[in-house]
Amino acid sequence: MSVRIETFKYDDAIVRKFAAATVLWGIVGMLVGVIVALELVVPEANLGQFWLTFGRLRPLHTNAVIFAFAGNALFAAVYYSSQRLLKARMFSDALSSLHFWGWQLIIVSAAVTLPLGFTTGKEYAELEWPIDLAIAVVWVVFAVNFFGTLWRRRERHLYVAIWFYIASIVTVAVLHIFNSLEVPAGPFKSYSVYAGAQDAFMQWWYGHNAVAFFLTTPFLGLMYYFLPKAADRPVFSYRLSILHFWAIVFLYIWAGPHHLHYTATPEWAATLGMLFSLMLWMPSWGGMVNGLLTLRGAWNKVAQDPVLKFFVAGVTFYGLSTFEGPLLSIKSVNALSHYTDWTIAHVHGGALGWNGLMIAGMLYWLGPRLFQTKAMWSKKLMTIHFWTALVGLLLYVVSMWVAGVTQGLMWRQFDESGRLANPDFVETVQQLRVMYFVRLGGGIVFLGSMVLLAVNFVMTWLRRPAEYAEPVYEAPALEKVAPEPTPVKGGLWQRIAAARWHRRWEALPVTFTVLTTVAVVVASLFEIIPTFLIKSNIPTIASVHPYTPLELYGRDVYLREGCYNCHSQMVRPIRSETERYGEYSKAGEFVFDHPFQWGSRRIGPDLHRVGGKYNHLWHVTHMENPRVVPGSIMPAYPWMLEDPIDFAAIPARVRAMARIGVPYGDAVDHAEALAREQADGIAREIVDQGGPEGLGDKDIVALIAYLQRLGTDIKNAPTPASPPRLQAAAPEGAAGADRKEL
Amino acid sequence: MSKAPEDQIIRGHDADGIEEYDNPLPRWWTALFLVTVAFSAFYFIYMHMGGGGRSVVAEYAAEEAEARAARPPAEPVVADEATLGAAYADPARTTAGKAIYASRCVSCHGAQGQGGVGPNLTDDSWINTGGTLQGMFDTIRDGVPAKGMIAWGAGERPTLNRDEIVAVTAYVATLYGTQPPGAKDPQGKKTPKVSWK
Repeated sequence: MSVRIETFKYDDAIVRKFAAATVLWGIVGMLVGVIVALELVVPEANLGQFWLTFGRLRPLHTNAVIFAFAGNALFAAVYYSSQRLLKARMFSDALSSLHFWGWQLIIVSAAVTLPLGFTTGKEYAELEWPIDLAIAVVWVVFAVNFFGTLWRRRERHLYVAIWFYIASIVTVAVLHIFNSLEVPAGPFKSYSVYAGAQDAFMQWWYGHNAVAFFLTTPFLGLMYYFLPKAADRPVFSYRLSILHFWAIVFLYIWAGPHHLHYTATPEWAATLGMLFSLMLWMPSWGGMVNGLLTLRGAWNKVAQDPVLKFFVAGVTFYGLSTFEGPLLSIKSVNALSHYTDWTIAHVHGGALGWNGLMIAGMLYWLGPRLFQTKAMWSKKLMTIHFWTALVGLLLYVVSMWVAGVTQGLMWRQFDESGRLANPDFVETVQQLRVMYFVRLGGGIVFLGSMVLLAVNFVMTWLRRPAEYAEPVYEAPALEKVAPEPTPVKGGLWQRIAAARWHRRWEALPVTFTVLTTVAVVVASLFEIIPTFLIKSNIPTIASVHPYTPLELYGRDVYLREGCYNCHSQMVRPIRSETERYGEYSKAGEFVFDHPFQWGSRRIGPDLHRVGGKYNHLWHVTHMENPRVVPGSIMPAYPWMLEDPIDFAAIPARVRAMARIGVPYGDAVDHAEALAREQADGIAREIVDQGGPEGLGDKDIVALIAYLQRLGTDIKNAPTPASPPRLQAAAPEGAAGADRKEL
Repeated sequence: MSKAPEDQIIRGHDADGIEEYDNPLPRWWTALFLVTVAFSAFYFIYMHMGGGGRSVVAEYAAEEAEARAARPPAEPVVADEATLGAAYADPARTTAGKAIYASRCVSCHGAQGQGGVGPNLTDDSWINTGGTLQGMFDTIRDGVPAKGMIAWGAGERPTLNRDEIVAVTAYVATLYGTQPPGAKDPQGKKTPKVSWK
């Protein structure tokens, strides 16, 4: 059998582009993070500009760090390592280029549209439908380019890094498409096709697995390539790679509902979310063990090589985060931690500690190879970066742990007379101010460490040769038939344990991809099908009606301003919550909420039962200047009293809602007139209460219409003859808690 | 950690120069993984397949019932003019009232009682109270729901108890005639002479 030797070159130009974009967007994303951290201690820091307010910049920060910083980094890792692991140039230079520029265009459009208030209102999936479509297209381009390279490979077996890349590419596509199903109501306006509890389920199926398949699995692939390369050591255990890979792929998908403990999500789903999170602890640690034990015998190198320092710290933070994750997913722990800064500590430990440090290590290892210099410009600066980043990270994470636990305990504390010890929400916010300053400091230090990286990166780039050399590699073409793996001697168990059967799969990319997809999709369907098909999950409440056209518009104002970034709409069945906010929230109350707005953090109080709590004028005064509540850190929204309601846009929105099944009936044809009539009524009431004239066509009136409606339908429930299903939803003793707080 | 691994390199595994050891799974790792799986199976059956675990909502209902039973019977929220007059004259009570006012009342009546969403509390015009301490006490307790004033002392679980409402009434009375800057125009019926002593 004659072996044909082929020659090829690697495309490093595309890796240089992705690496540069990583550095740039990392700094931008973290700078926005520092700005929003500043706004929490100095609310006036938004300079009175609508596009600089916390609610609009926070999604920009999360999207930039996840999809721009970590995204470009994972593409750099995939493009650099896959070519070498497969002994093939990327499938198509044109697709590579399209992928790079398409992705940057998406990032820029996010950076423009989010501050302008174009948002779907779903966390980490805020981008509006045209950008969602673009993401899908660019992701497919990436997938074709990647799988094309697999097809043209000259290496028979796929290395573990490639397995992780395959799982990531397939799953992110599935998550993005199914969570983003939305019906357009204008050029940059759409509504999620899912509502309430189902939307919440889909959102956190997506949100949790974006963490899994965007921030974890590609970075495990990155680790499996760059860490052994930098340490020049064999990977600790092939068998561990196999087991923890398949466990992660199958188990992660189930864990999403742990973001929805104590909410109106069906409890079986929340339990599954908790249990699969616990079961994920060891599979996740499999990655940490394989990373750290690969360095056995190379610890002297770690002392000298900053690249390995970053990898060791990064993998250690991965271990920390994947221990903290299961811990936070335990229901009783979550009762304390949810809605507090503990969650913020957790995600930053992951994003800065795991992703941030791994990315820095990778870039420093890649730098001299991409720019064809002897070494990075300054090794000393790399070491300084490492220690600065670590200090910033610890300041950040520790301050947020303290803040989270402090606030969680304050919310639930009762005094000896059985009343809440801290009945005013703002007291618990004031208590955190010192920690918020420490967090701001930690963020600034970490951002500073990124600037050191940028300086080193640019200085190395300046020392590049006049023209990059493009070495030519040689490898035999892939033979048609895969060679049989070496047989293992011994009984059945020995043969299974030695995992040679898996070696066969590694030579069959199509089979491998199909198996991965099946694992992910089957695991998803186990939860999705019952969530959508079992009626008793969401007991109907007869008195819950769709929002009026004006309330719907007001709800869009709520989304546009990003109120959900600080306010939840979900009173949990926990005594300290019903004491503070009123009756706990029921799934049936949210059936017309496209999208759901349950939130994930209470920087301000829950709003689900705010309807009717204050008069209209209070809301007007409070929006204009939230400091009427002394100590409040909420931004002021004076423009809401000036910006006109776009009445002409309302009919299209009502029609879009009707199209996804909201029973608007005749209202579809009179949406605008109905909205005007309700707005006039509210404006008159504001004047009656001693407020200003002329608000009848201003955004504030629409927002007030929505806020006054929130959580009130359930009070109109016909108690004596309620259907049996409704009674099942509201067990004895649960109802009747009146609003207790101011 | 399991017994010292053999560190056997697997022949034929060479991914861009990266080799792999054939080390077994660490025993502690396998054991902990199996423990989490076993626990999960047990817990799911316990919670959702007739194992007797109480749902979050049932747990809440039980706690709520227990708290209700343990609660001392609500004292009636009433006070007469004499009690209120004595509190008005007692600096300790007005200081206590000031603290409550600062957290509960300022967002509508202003930091110095000058008014805002709610009426000015420093002038001699009164909408609901008739200018008496008793009237103020009753208004704070029952609120003016039609106008957005919260009923602080009504219902099964009042937000403020009797003593707190007495204190805040006494403090509000001290604001009379203070003429703060930015005061809201008088509203309601003018009561020329107010005497609380």
